[in-house]
Amino acid sequence: MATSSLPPRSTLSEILSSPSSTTDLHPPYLTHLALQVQHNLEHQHNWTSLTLHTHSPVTPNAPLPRPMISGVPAQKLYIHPDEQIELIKAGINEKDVQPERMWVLPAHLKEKWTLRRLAEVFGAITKVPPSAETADEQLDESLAAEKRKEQNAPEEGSSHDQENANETEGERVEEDQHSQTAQNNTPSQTEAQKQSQIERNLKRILLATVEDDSTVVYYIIHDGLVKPRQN
Amino acid sequence: MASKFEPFHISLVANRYFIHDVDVITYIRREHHICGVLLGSIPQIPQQNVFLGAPLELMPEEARLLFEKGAAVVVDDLSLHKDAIAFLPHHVKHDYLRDLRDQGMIAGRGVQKRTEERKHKALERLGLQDPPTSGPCDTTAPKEEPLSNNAIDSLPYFDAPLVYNVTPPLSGRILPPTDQPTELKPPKVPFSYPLYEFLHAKGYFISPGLRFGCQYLVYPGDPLRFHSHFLAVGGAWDEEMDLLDIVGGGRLGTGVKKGFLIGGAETEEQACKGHASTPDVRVFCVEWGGM
Repeated sequence: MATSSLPPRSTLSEILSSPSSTTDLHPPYLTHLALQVQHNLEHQHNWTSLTLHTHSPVTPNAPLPRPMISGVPAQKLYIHPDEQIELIKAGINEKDVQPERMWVLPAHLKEKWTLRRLAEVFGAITKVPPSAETADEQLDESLAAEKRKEQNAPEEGSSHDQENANETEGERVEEDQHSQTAQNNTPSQTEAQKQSQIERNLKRILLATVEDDSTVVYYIIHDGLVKPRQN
Repeated sequence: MASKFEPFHISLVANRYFIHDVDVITYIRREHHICGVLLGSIPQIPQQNVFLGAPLELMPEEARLLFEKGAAVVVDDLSLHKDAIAFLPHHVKHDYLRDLRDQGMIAGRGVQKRTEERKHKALERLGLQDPPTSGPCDTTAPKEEPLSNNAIDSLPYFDAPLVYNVTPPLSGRILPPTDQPTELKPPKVPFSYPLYEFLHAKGYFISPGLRFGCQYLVYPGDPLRFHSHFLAVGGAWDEEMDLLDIVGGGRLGTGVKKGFLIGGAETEEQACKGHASTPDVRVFCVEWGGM
């Protein structure tokens, strides 16, 4: 009697109770947290092409510290103060700037965070998140790789893979820096412009903090020193 | 970089670090980007606390930085003074005390002379004669000539004019600053020191951050010219932070057009690409997402 008189479940509850909402990689509460944030972004903030990421795009086989989301906001969410000045000089309205795909890190207000864990998150992501299709491909690849690994299965092998992966990551970042410095070394650029260039190329994530009453607040976290915006 | 000021003394008094020399205060602000906090008030108007002067109090981090650069030596004021006074040669002490008494006597004589002159003028205005006392006007003339030490010593007590007790504000005359300082261990600093050092090395000016509820206020230039850019809080690499503090700090920072900065030293070799120049400190800036 009592159960039949219950109101219908919310969409979010439906999503969370569906069997596809859990993976073996992360504990269910983390995946549910990510799904809740994803739901909030989609319906409260009009984000598009939202993707749930479980694997790091940097190291192919490694899972992310926790499931993360990427998506495209309705408007460009972060504009560096120097870029803002350039836009004003060029007479472009901030609202007309093409929004970029961003990383979103779901977290619950009751959690404790450490600098190490933040650094781990930043270490596992690229500057720009892979789009939905490439993420899926990567996921398939990594799952296939995992299966292969399970078949071959020696513990040493996996740690070896990790190391190799880390190396390639390091090379890639170095390459990035080289191309960056190559751009920066044009003689017309001043020290301040270089600094600005460096600041704009730092990774950033959107920290989504969820409260028990389903409030979600969003804060941008930069991986390094970035001067504040003059809102 | 070596300057006539270096190495200067930082006085350690009751576990706090002070600089007393105004030239050094301006010098470290100009050359070392260290502002400290001015503490000195006017003894007779201590309520006046808007414009303060020397001494300058340094944060332990600032003292440590100057110490590590070799720009300063830390001197324990109490033990230095005790030792110096205890081993002071007798004649130096005697000369100094007599000198103090001379100063007091000269001050007292000035006051006495002005009183006599006022009294004389008042009597004149009333048309009265100066009463024939010991004749203050007569005595002023010979007393203006400099007194030799012997003359003061030989003066009988009752003849001596009013003597003020002089309390010297500085000890430089009796303890010349050429004394070899007792060098101390490097100043003890909180674990956020690596963050302080990192920000300072980037050219930022850093001041205590109580006004904005944080540890450091980080200015991109001299605080007289710039608003601060960051509200910084340092932490240990594995220290747990409440997410509410990050959200609160980010919110406050954005509200006052600043970034909320958290950072600390990496305790292990971690992936720290892109931080090649200073691999041991990581910082994160938090701003409100605006949604």
